[in-house]
Amino acid sequence: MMERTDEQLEAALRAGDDAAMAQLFERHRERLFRMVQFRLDPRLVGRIDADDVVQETFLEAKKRVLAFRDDQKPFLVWVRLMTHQTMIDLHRKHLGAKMRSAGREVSAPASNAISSFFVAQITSPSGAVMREELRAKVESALASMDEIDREVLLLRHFEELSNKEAADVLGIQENAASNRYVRALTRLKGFLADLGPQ
Amino acid sequence: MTGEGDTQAREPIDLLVERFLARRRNEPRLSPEQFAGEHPQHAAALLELLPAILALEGHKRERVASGSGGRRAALPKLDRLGEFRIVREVGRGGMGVVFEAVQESLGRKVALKVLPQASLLSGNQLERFRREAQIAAQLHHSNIVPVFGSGESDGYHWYAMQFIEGEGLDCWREAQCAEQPQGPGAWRTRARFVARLGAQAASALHHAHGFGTLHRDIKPGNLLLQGGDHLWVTDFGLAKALEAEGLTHSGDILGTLQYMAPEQFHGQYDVHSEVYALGVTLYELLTLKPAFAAGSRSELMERIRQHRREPLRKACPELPADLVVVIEKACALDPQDRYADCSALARDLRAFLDDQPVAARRLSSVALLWRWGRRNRALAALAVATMLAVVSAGAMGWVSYGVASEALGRAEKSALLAAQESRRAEQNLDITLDAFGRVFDALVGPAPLVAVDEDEETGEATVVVRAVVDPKDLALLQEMLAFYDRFAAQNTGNAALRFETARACWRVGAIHARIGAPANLEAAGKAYQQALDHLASIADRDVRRERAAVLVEAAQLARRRGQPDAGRAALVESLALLAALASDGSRAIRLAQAEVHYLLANELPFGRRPPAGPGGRPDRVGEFERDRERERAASLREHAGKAMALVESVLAEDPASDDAKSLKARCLLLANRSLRRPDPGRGEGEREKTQQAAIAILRDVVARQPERDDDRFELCRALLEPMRPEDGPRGPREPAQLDAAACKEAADHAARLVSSQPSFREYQRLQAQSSLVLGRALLAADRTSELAAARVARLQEAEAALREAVRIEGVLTVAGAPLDRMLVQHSLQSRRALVAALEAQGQRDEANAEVAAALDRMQQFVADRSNLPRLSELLAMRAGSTDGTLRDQLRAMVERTGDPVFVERLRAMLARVPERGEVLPPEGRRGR
Repeated sequence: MMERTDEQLEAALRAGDDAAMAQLFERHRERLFRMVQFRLDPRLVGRIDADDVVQETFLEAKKRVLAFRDDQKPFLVWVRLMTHQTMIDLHRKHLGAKMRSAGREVSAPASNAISSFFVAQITSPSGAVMREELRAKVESALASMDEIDREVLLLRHFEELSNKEAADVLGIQENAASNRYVRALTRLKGFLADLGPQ
Repeated sequence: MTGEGDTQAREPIDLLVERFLARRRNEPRLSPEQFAGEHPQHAAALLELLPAILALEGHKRERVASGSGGRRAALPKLDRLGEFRIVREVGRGGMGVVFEAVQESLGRKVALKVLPQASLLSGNQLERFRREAQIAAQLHHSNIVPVFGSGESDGYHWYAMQFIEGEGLDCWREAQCAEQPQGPGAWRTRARFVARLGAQAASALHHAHGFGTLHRDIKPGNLLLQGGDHLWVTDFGLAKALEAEGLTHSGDILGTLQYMAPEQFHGQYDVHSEVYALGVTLYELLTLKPAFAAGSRSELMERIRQHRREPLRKACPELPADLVVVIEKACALDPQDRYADCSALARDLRAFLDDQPVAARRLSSVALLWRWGRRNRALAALAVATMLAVVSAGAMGWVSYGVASEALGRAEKSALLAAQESRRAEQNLDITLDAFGRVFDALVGPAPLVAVDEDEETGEATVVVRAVVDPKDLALLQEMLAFYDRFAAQNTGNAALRFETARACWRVGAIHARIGAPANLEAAGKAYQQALDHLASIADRDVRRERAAVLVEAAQLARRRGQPDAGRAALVESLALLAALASDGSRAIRLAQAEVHYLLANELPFGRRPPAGPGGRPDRVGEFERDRERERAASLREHAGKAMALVESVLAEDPASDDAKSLKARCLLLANRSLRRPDPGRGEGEREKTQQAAIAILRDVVARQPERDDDRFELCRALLEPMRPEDGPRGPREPAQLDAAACKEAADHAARLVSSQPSFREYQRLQAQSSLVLGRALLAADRTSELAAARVARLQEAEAALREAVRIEGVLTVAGAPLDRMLVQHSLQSRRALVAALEAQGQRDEANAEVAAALDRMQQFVADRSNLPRLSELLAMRAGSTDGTLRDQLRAMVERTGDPVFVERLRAMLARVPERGEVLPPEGRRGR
């Protein structure tokens, strides 16, 4: 059997081929995994595994396949929303009353999580103090960004979404998404360039 | 990531970046410079952005490669770190590497824990890490690895501890896995070994807790074993110092997740969690496998939360039961079910080692069932209903089965099958009856009569009865009642089932007694009689114990129904049965005898006094009555003496028996009570000593077994008893001494009782009473107090206690309920004391309002003459009131009561009360 494209799978799923769900999900698994990884509350790291979240999302998605057919959203957008909801539920469950606005916190990845990813990248033995400074710099750079710019950066880079997909997810025009992406890159470049080549 | 369709809409740089990344996948050596050279018009921007993008990308790959994001930073080979010469690496964990090293300045061998350089300690973390090290360095305990210090050298953070020549218990466990103990002897050795280690660890932890330090990472790997039996706890607080901001990564936490208490998942962590972690660790050391085996993180967490692990008893059936109980208590799901602290755990482990009884009593299957029933009440009701259907079908079917199989049995070839079937049916019936009996025991508990209380003034007896435990249980009880009723009715003629039928009747009686409405009490009496009849007709087994037990319950029922003579007869009969059994010398029988003697002796108040004369107090008693009285008193003393002798004989053989201890305390209290009136002059000091002895016994029992509500009840009463008003020439007067500390203790116990059985009136009464006495004690102390501030505080405390008393009494005297004279009196006393407290604080208006409220209440009770003295007191207090409703109230009372004597008195009072607005005392005016 010929390998079907994402579009073909999506069309098949809409047409009633439930089995297409698993294949489609499998193709997006990696991205969803990354999505979770970057957005999981640092307090939950160690308690919840990104894999578990993705797995749970899959089960949920299977249950809701009918809802997908009613919905006009592209599969990726739909499944991301579902992942997002799973995370919110988990955050609520684990952090309980401390999370008054679970939804918002989940969608906005903790900037210190991101900054520490950048910083951990440094291999030169520059010493803890310098790293700490650098992390602070990255953190403030991220914090100073427009929220959507930051999202575009994350979606494009860490979740490996195409520009169109990122635009879909954020519900903005494609040119706007591209624009924002370049803007975010430019803002980061200042200190990212300091890191030196790989 | 296909970008064809949207190229028009995108920034050129964006497209170029994407193209660059796409090409890099096939040409890993493609450099930014080369790519920029191919696109000269964007070269500058590309040269600026691409290196950063590569950094991002590379980082991403690394993270993905490392799975769930853990990074285990490598530590280069170190020879030296600051003043430490490194000898060898001894271990490697998530939080760093442990070296054996020599601290050269002191020439001592140390264990040096070095955190990986890559672990970035933020300012806060560093601070915390140092602080924890400092605190750990202050802990001096023979089972805590001494910490020498911490610091930073060459960019590494380190932590120096005494070097322990030993191994972690995780290693020990792995080594042991090869050889499971064989035979009970070997298991006993293992159990004792682990208990010894556990006791050491618990005592070390308790020491640390005393300094406010939690270990936070208790697991076998952090317990070191030296020289075969000395245990060291290591790494105090390190986990906490490093965890918070993600220094210990997922992989490392996973290692300890298995020992995490369920409450930790929602951020609660305290001493109870440490008890739990140690319990789970000991479990693992005993079974050689983790209580919660590793698995996916979320699945593992789910299992911990739901307490899904093999019960220790099942995992190691050969383990001594006491140790199983101790460990299971330590790792109970609910923190409240665990030991209160590590020292309690250590104590119990030592008790086990010394072959002493452990404080953690095993949660019997009944208790478990009971708890389950409490948690899942709806389910329990359903289960009972289902069981009921099955069992009734089974029981009734069984009878017909018997007939059927008999018929079958005639056919030769079916005989065997029939016998088997019959046996199976019998077994099933046994099992279901047994299961049902357990539910019954859990729900219905011991006989509902708790105590007999005596009115301090009139000498009238109030029977203290535990009512239906909870309205929610009522449905269950009624289901069970239906079952037992049907069972008894169905099987009356069946000799083989006669014993079960008798038991069913017995239980029907107990359930009715529990429900407690008058109709139920009557039904209970009938059921007990039926049970006794059935038992009497059983010839093939010895049922004397059962008969004795039913008789005791029937006797208590008779007392409740106001038939003291019938009760007495039943007790005497029971005693005769037990006496016949006593020849086998069993302690249980002797204890039962003691109990019956005690009950007989405790008959004291019943019928002891002739009905009160017109003066409210018995003053003329006929010669005949006096003789009878003397006779009876002698008999009561005799029973009391016998009860005590029997209890002492049981205690001599089994000094740890809580049942015997509790009965002894009751006997002591009873002796004191009976002394009170007839011989008030006799050694007050001795009485006091006896009282204190009883209190001490009960305190001890209750402290070790907090669920013994009846003992707590007794204790509470015993504490309050000396503070009852005493008989004086002119009625009761305030007791000589009011001990506020004892009152507080009693009030605490009462509060606990009420929270344990909220619908049990007697407990509420006790709470009201203890609040009242506490309030009075505080008021009495007030008189001697000099400091104004202390005085105000005490008065306020007294007021609060008294208000509590008034509140509870208000709840208890619900409209329509039968009049409870003791309660009325208490309620009036509470009000009076409250008014006194308010007046002492200068709150006249509030005091007046309380008096008015009390008078309002009196309207209900006005028909009862014995309330008259209190009423006059209230009126006297009210005499200065400006509120003119007093006359109206009095008039209303006169109208309501038909008793000429009372009307006379009320009129006299009325005459002393000013007309509305007639007199306005200055205080009152000021208050307006």
